[in-house]
Amino acid sequence: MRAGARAAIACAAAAALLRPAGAGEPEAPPARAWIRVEPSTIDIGMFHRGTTVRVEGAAPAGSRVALVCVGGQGKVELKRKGKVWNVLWMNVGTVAFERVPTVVHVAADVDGADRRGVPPELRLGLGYDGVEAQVLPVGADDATRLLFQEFVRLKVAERLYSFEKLRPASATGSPPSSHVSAEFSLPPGIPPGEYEVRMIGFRDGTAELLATEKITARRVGLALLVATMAQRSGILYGILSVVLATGAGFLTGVVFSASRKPH
Amino acid sequence: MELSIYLPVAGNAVNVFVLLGLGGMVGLLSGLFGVGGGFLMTPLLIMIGVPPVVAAASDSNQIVAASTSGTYAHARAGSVDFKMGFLLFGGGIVGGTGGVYLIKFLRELGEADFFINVTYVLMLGSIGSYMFVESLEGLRGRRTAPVASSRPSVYARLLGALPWKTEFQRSGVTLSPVLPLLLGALVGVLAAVMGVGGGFIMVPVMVYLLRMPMHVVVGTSLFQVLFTCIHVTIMQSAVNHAVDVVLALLLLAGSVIGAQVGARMSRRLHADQLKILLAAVVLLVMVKMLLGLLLRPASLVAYGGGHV
Repeated sequence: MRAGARAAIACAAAAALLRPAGAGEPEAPPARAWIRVEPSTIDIGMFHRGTTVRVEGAAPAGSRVALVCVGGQGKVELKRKGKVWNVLWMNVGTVAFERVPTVVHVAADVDGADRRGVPPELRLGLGYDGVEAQVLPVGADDATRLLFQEFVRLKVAERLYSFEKLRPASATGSPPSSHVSAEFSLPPGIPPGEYEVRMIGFRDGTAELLATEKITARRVGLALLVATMAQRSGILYGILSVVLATGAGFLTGVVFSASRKPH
Repeated sequence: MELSIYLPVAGNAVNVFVLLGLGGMVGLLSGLFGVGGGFLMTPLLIMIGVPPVVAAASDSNQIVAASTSGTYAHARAGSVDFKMGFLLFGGGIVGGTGGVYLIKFLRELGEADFFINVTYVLMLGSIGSYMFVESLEGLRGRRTAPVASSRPSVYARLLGALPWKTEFQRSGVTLSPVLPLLLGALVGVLAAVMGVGGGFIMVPVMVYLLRMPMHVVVGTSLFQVLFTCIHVTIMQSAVNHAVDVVLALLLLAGSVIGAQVGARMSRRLHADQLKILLAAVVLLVMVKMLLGLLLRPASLVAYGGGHV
């Protein structure tokens, strides 16, 4: 994905079933939801090996909460494998999916949540079902559904997608709020760009975006220089690559032949 | 020990020692047999998480280094036929361009993948089997001397009919330059169809059809592979922006040394020993491809691009 491409990470955390405030006490105004991400900037240099992003936050008591991390959306075209002559497995065509997020990490416990009123833009908080609902058209056939499952399995293997369950947290403070936290392991292969961490609350059959934070992943130093040159000055970059390769090959040849000469 | 490095164009981090090891292994094959090794390296790079297009393009760049190193070593030993190499390369450029258009045509028909896979298995299977049996007979001392025939073979008559006979001193053969041009073009078509440099097809062609001695074949093939891969590297950089120079440099750090060791070993081995080793490698790749066609893949979808 190009730098600057829109990306949204929704690192969704913890569905927390909270205790109601005690009877007889005056009803406190709902707690304000917040999240904090650390680090908020990921520098991708030559020794970048991936980053663990820690998400921490609080949601009003009584909500089920999901932290969702989503990367930029786009079209993905894949080779589809099938049997030819009922014997040979090979590429038999392509399959394309629209609105596919580059990165999705979800940490949530929304099994008991009422999903009927969840608006499309918040469905990712539901985990795999939400991704499928976002990407596949309504009424997609079983074959397409199977291929999409295979694609998601590829993404999970690349550590670009993950779906985890979070433990419910207990409510504390006044007004009571549920503290949640999650860690998301972002692999070195995440594309540079802007990501968003969202806290989504589920309550009474609806969903609500409670808080968001941004994360920026950017190439720096030599990694930025090489990637930019490869993209913007292809021919010059190719010639330089050839010069480097022939130079290295020639030099090794000379060194090896010199080392073989009798003393 | 885990020492990872980020590959800016591939957009992923990989273990440095794995790349050095892969480069060394493929460089050894390159120096030993005169093949570029792309048919082995590209799938291995994809396996460690390099996108297919970047794997194929960057591999071409590292082959430039390995084949420069190997060609230099062979040239110093006097085992490169430059005249033959240029003719084969010239034919290869024409054939390669034709092959690219052939694949485009087949893609439009929706038959490209089938054609490529079948070509791969048939080519690897037939070349590997023939070389294996022939060199095994040579090693056992059972190779039969050619029987004098009153009627020359079709191939011999074709050779005789071609014009402008020229002596190729290094190779010790006299033949028309039209033949290496035609064979170079044929290998170019196959290389474009199969998505590889073509060294492992070129070597048997030089041995069996051009009748060149094995040690000159290895050096000359490397020389030809060098120019092919320079062409591919620049094209891939200009059109697909897919060459990762960091990846290529790490691979070539291993491969240039491997190529030197391979070139030394190739001079110590008997021609039949070299051929049987290459045949074994080719047959192993063919078996791997065949199993890939017969067994259910781990995933029913795959990212596009790169070699087959």
